[in-house]
Amino acid sequence: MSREAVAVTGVGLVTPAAVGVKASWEQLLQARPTAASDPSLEGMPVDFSCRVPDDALASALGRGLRWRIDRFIQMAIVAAREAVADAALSPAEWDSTRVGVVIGVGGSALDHTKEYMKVVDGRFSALSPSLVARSQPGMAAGEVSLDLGAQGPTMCTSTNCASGTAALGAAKLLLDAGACDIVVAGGTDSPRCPMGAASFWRMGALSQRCADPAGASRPFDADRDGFVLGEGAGVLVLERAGQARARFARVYAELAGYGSTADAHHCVAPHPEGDGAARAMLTALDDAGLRPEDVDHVNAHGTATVLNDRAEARALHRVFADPPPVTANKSVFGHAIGGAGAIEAVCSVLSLHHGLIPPTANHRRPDPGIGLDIVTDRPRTAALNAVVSNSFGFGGHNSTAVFRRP
Amino acid sequence: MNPSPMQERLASLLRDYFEVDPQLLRPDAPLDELGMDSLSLAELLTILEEEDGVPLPEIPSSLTKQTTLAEVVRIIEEQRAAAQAGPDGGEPAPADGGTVPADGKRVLADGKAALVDGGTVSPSQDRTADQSVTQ
Repeated sequence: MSREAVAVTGVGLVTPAAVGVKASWEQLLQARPTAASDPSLEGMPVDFSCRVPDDALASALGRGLRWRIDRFIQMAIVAAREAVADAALSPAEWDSTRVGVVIGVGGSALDHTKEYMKVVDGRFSALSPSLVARSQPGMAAGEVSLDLGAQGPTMCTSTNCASGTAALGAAKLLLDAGACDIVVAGGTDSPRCPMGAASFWRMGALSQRCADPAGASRPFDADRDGFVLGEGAGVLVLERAGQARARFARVYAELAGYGSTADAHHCVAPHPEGDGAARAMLTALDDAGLRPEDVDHVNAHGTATVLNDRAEARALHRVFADPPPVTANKSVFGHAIGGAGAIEAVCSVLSLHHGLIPPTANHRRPDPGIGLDIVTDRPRTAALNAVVSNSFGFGGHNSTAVFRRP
Repeated sequence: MNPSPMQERLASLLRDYFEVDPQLLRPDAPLDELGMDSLSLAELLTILEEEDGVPLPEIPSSLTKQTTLAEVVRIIEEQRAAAQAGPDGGEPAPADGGTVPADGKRVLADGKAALVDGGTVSPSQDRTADQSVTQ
């Protein structure tokens, strides 16, 4: 297998801050939370979320698609288009059979309760004929490949909250194996619908701060009480470094390593000592040929649940003798489930590229049991050579990507 | 000539739900030009049936990519008239307020399901998209 470096040559984002990398990154640097009351959740026990601007998404997507593809697919397509354009690649000119698409999705759309009731009522012919095509997780990669004309290997990685990072790992394997030359890789999800919000609320995972949505997502804070449901997509264009150099592409960073483990501890609670998380980070660093002391920054999974943040902190202390500065993007963007890992991977790449660590919002009273250098208040300028990006999902899935300065 | 109510309704659906460019909406526009295929046609007919409660049993085999919007309107109007007339040409709509979906399964007003003819549902009675768009 080839072990040529994998270059990140394009990035795309659809976040609750904005459709597009520039505006999303700017809001992240300002640590301005996107959480707000959500009209679609009115009257529910948790009635706020981090919502992608509807008009901006519709405008970016263009006509004729919304009737047959759900929101999570729409976001993946828009982010993928931005990433491919950012990479200065043209689908009209590339060898489409050598372009793969891997999109992570935490779950299929949860907002088809009206359609489900038609089945309950026995009104089968009333079902939308497009229901399967618009909602299955694998359709995100399928529709992105259709939109771009990419005809190489396609895949959907689904490891719940780690899905987006897992997509990068799968993409790296495809490139290392020589299965294709370019991979459009990322993650997407849109769980902030009534069914999704009710489901996550019912299992006790969501912040209950309905009176203060903007202040609700508090990763690593002593007063954290759960995550804020969001949505969004992140996409990266990955290609072999030699090919990127040959076409004079801008290389943001290298995807230097990837590690994946399972806790095998509990269906949803993380291992309390961060066992699987630590092993994922060490595996990824080993894959990258790096030592823990080479890492300058950690982009944390940082959901703001009591259990995750504590377990992640313990994992970081197990891996790093002196953990590097940490930030948690979910304090601004909320938790996009399958989209989160990819959104945060883009942010990790941008940190390396700009030499800036975005601050974590709402970090007012540090949890004394965490013991990490959480970047707060304002962006921190730093010479970054290697960044670790973590994602941990229900089911005990742990995924870590390591990015390195090119 | 003024457009019929069904023509206006279709144009509205094509414009607002399917997001077809309004400038393309002409009576003589072929389905292909409007970006409509068998999947989107099946969706359109399902919406009409849901809104009206009048079953539209089949996508006629006579419909092709070159069928125009005006012809689609005519076919739908004919099928609705036939459906409202009933299988014997004069039977009124179900008096219990239920609907008669194309799969032959009638949902009564109290929410219970009953088969119209007491038999089983035939797959051929279901409206599905053309097999060419499914795998």
